[in-house]
Amino acid sequence: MKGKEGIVYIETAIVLITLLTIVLWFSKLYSESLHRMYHEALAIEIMMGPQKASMVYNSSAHIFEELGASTSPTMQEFVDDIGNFFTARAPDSSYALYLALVYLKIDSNKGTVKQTSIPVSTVVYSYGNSDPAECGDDATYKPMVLQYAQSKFNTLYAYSANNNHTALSDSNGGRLGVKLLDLNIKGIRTRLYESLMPFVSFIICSKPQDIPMASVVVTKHFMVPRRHTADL
Amino acid sequence: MSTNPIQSSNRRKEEGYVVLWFLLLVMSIIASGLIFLLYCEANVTKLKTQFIAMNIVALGAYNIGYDELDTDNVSEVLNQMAAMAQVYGFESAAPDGTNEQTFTDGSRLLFEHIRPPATGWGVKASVSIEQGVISSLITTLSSIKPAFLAVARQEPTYIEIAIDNSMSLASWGIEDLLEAFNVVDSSGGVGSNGRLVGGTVVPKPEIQTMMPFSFDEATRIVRPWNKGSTEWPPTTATSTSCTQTVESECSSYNTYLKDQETVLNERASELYMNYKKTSIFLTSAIGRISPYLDVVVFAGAVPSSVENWLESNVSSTLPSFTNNGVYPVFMYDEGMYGNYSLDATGKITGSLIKQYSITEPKDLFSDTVPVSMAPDRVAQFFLNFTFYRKLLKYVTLADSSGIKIVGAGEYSYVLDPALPYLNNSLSDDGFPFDYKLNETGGTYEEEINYYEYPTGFPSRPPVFEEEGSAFMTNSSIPPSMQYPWEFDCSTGPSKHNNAPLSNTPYETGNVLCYIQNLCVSPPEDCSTSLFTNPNVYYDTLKVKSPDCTYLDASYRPRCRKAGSSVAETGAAVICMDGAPRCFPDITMVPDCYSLLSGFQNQPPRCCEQLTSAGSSCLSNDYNPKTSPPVPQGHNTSPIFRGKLIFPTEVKKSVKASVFHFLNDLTPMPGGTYTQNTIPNDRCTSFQNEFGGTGRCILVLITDGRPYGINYNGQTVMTDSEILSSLQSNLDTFTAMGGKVYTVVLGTRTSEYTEMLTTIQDNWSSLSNAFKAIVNQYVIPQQSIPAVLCPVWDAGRPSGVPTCDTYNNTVLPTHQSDTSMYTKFKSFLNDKTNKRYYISTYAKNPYTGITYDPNFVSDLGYMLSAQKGEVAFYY
Repeated sequence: MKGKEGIVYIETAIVLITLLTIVLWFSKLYSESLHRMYHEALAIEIMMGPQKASMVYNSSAHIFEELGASTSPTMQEFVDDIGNFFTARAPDSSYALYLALVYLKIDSNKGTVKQTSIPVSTVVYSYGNSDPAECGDDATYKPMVLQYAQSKFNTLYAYSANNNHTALSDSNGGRLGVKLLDLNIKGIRTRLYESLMPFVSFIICSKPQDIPMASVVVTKHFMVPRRHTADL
Repeated sequence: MSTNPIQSSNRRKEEGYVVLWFLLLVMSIIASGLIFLLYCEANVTKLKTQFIAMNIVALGAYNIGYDELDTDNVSEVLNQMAAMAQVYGFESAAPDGTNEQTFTDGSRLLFEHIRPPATGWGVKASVSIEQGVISSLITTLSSIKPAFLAVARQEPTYIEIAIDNSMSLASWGIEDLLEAFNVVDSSGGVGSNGRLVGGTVVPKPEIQTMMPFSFDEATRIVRPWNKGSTEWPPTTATSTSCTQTVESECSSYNTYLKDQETVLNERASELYMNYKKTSIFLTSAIGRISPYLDVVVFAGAVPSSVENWLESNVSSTLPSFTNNGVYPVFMYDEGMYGNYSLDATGKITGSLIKQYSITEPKDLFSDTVPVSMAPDRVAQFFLNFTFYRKLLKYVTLADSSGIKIVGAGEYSYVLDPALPYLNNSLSDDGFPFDYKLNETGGTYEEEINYYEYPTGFPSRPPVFEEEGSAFMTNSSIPPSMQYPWEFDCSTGPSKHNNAPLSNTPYETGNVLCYIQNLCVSPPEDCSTSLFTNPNVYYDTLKVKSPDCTYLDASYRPRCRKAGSSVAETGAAVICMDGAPRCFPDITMVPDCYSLLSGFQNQPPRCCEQLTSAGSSCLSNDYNPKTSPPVPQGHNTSPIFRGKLIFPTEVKKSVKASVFHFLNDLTPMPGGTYTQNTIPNDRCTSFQNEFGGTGRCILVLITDGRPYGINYNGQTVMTDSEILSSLQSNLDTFTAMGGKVYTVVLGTRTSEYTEMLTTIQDNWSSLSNAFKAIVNQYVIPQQSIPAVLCPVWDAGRPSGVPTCDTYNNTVLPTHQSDTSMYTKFKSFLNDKTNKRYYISTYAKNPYTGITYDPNFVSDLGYMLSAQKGEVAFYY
């Protein structure tokens, strides 16, 4: 009889352990899902949060330019606006943000996508959790930001390239640029587009806390900035 | 210790319950866990759809003003949204703005580009992501729909485009125009349509007819090219209180028979044409930024007589006119009026057809809403290019046998505006052209003449007309225009040209005397030369036109000034296609007059013939087109100017557009009241509509300094008063956050600068004494001492003013203008207060706008910046 009691105890223990495992597994899934929800909510907040102009106009060269170290705003100022906002809004200190401002090249006369390859020199900025054991693994996440942006650029290019336009064509298919002018001058349709189209590619990473089996949660986002050139 | 069999039995039973409880517990945990998980995932999906929808509309919002569909029904806004949807995994998303798109996994997309008459402009995207059956059950139970509808707009922005339309833009030379018509070639030599006369390149007679302002507005007689070859030199001003300035034409009592070269300089000079082309270009581009747009032209105030006329002849059913030098062309919240008629008191009345508002702004680019031609739109009376634009587009110029010399449309690009590209087909024609005086009859047309508004054509569209025929038909064009033979002074006035004129020498002001008199220098006295000159001609077949005998035999057609009871001795009544006119001063009112009873406020009749009783017209009103005269000179051969052939049938009905309105304007005399263009009241009311927010932008297109003079050239505001007013208004605008962009394409060269150029050109032939005066006084901008004036006057080359003129007019004007311009610019070139001053150039716009490419790039930047920040609405 004692043996049977032992079995019951063992069964009970197994049941409890299994139960605990299931509960923990569910809590892991649930906490990760909850984090993904936070990520999406944060992405929306970033979308609506403070943003500086995402490109500039060089009034000496008379061209649109990407943000850089000497532009106004600088690239650093642009990403800081988003990064600092992210840090302030993140639910806990496990959250990290990796972001890059990337530019799709547009044919300024046609509005079609001209170039998609993201320069290798493009800098990815990071904010928040810098623990390499959690979300601070720059070597993993920074390339991921650019790879994600590149895949989106490829999609945009493919959309645009499906039509082979000339500047004079009346067809709108495939024209994605931000239009500045569209006139009929002496019978010739004349279009002018911004030569750059900025996007923000970012990754949000977080590590659910106090959940033994939880791994880091990573979500990727591709965002349209709310401002192009700064208001004069 | 023995085992209780009952306990043992219970344990055996409990063994099964443990498993059972466990299973039940696990199932419940799994179930609740799944519910939680799916609930959480539903929220994640919901948030994802929100993010996707927001980004789709965010990109679409950048092209929010452009909704033109191509032949595949694709617009660029929809393109952007579809591309963005593909980025988020909707791989086959299409730029469809009408139908909901359903994907293989059940997800759905719906795009919409919101345009007027809905509230403002916007883009809308509905994104729905399909889930599995269980997930759907959870989301249904929890009411968390994985779908989101996002709407994006741009910041509310009010824009006023204020376009200088003053006389200072005129008289800049017509070299571009001559080159456009191939009169001169690109190097200034004789072009294919040019010829050398006295060392100067002038148009060949035929091409001259196709050039703007080839016909005199009052008589519809073709103008000669210049004074040297004409029977129509300017008349001597009979009386004037007008002060000639760069802003006033002083034409009230000057001739209405100016030669074509003079008129082209006054109305189509290079600078003015450049400004017009640029203003249309900018309006087309900037108008896309916001639906809250006003377009105004500005010059000076109209004479009080016009203001009074409007007040006493326009009923309160129509908008009132503000005489401040600013003339609205388009307002986003204006009322559209129509159904014009005369009420019982003889006032022009109309009714409101549609009232636009902040929630339903008027669309600048839609041809379904033409530009308003209500009576308060006084600028419509300066649409003098309309006829000539149509002429170039539709008329074939032929030789006497009908063989084409210039084809229809061959030179139409010269006067066509650069239109915005629109799929809802803004008509290339823009503006109707009906062969009729105006819709409401002739009751008030005589008064409109008073402001130098000759009625009918040439050259402007019918008063108040917003829609009508694209052009007149060949059968409706008067023979005087169809056969534009030119008769110079050696041939005498033409029989043809005199056909519509009175032949009866009623007492004073015989018309034919005036015509012939103009050929003589010095002028003859018409009263003594009446009918004595063998070149004077009149058509004896038209025996009773104009005529007042239908009232009483004692009445005679005479002319009076509007509102006056005094018969003018310097003008006579003529008949023009059935309507009496005063010649040579068409501002006067033709009326029937007798010495005993005075004026009767009854216009003379223009009859082919009277009945035998002499009481009424025997046939229709006198109209020479019913029996077109054969072109022939009175004496020697006239100058062949080609034959105009209009199409036989009207092709289509057209509506007016803002762009054609701006394109067809001629300069308006009377000053430049720039200070009144600052839209403080409009900005205030606009911001109030948005709860105190919203941006205000003024785009000012001008040639520089304001002028505070009136129609007669008299100063009504000093420079300091204008600057004070301008500064005050600008400061108020700045305080409201308003931004000002001033575009200056050039400034008229002053007489002083022109004088220096002439002196420089003649430098080698000048005396040393004269050169010394130039170096010591003129270049340093000082007055020439009186003691040196004789030296100056004796040594000055041709074209250089006298010493008195230099000291009293040229130098003070130049210094005053320079000072004024400097201050004006300082107000508007102030980046701290968001006032941006852009100085650039435009070249040869007739062959297509040619701008400094940097200007276009900079404009692109301005447009990009003013697109502002995308705002979301839910």
